[in-house]
Amino acid sequence: MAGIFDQADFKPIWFVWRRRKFNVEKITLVSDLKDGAIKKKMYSVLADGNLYRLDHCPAEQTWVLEQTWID
Amino acid sequence: MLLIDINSYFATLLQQENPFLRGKPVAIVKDLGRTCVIAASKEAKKLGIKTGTNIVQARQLAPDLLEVKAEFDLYLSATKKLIKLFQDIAPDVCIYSLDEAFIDVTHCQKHLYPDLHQLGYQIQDKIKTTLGEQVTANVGIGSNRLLAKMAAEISPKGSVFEINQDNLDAILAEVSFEDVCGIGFRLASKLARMGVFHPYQVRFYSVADLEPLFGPFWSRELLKIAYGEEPHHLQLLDLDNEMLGQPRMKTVSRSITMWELVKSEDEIKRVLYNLTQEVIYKVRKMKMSGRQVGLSLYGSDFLSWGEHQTFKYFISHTQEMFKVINDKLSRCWHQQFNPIKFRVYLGLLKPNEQVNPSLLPSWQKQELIETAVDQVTDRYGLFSIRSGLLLDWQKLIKPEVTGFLGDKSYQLDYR
Repeated sequence: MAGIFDQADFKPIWFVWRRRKFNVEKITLVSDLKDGAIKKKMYSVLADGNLYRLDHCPAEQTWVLEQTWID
Repeated sequence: MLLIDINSYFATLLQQENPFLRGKPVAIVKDLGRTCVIAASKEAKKLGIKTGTNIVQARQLAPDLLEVKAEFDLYLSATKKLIKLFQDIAPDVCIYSLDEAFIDVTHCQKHLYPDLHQLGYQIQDKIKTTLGEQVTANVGIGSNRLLAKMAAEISPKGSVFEINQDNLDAILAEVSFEDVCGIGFRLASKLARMGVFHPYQVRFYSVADLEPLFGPFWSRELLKIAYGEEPHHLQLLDLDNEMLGQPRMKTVSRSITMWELVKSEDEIKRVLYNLTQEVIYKVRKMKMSGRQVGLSLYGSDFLSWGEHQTFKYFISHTQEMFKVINDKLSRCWHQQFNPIKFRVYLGLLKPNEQVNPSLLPSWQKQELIETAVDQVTDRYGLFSIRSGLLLDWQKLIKPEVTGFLGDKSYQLDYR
């Protein structure tokens, strides 16, 4: 995952999944999730015309592709 | 007073997230495969689909209907962002449900917001900036919560509307009871049988006329509503705000409708233990204890069974509450039918500082265990540590947020 910090908010620019690079065209929603004390951010992004839900755990610095929507 | 009501919240937010859903009739269901529509998009509403519509009927009304699973974590996250936004406008914010909030600008209107309509438009813009351009809201303005909510209910989607002294009587004479906050279906039907369809008509009755039909409380409430005054249940919200941090909650309950009738006794026990653990976690998180344990079971063909037991002492341990439920089951219920819906609750709650803890060593030991479980749960989430009864169970029921946010003291203040 690569991105920029814009006014302290992280904004994904591109990500690699299964050795393929996906350019983020638009961030449609950012959600703050919590599981116990573990805080996560979920970025819903449009990339290559499809929707991807990317889960970010800042504590562990991990990114998980949770869901895709392909029309 | 302003009431902000996000239009078709559950569906709109998912349409914001997913452009493929935009402009299409969308039905939100609790889980894919469930048969009850819990929310509909603006496009689906235009076709006659609303909350509670059966999915089969919804498909007939909109053959190209898209069924989408509700995402309660997303809704709660968005609501928390909205609360922050509203609190930046005025300090007196009262969250009424996941998608509705009252903002009291009485104390800052003169200097900060002389034009409330302008403020309404600004709030609509800020909501779009915060959550996305798809998210529209109605802003209702009134001298009290009843009128602000009514203004938001009767105005077109995405509008700002005010009820003031000039239009008050005309609106009360036109609005139907389904758009009046606090008037439920039964009360509206009772009024309809008297030929009363609009609040203004109630003015032609006295308390003495109304009391035999509606009782001493509702006869006075109806007259208040008829004159556009704030009814009791909305006045209680002041108390909620004053006591923020000290929940006024009396009962914590949890219910679940399973996918099919549950036939096995072991399975029934698992479901009940699962629900009990969630109830106790919430109660303990709010630093409360309760002394009434209740259980309700629902089967097919409207079969139902319920029992509760009230104790002299307070309960705040999962094992203790489950033992009561389990004993009830074995003593009173005798598996009369196969249940599909389960509900457990702990009532007559009191803050722990008003409750004397038990001095029994066995209770003290259990309290230590529960405290340790709470600490693990706080860190790793509910059910990360659980009874052996649920260990290999594949159908674990996780906590979820309800639209009316009945547990807002827990959801908004304690997470």
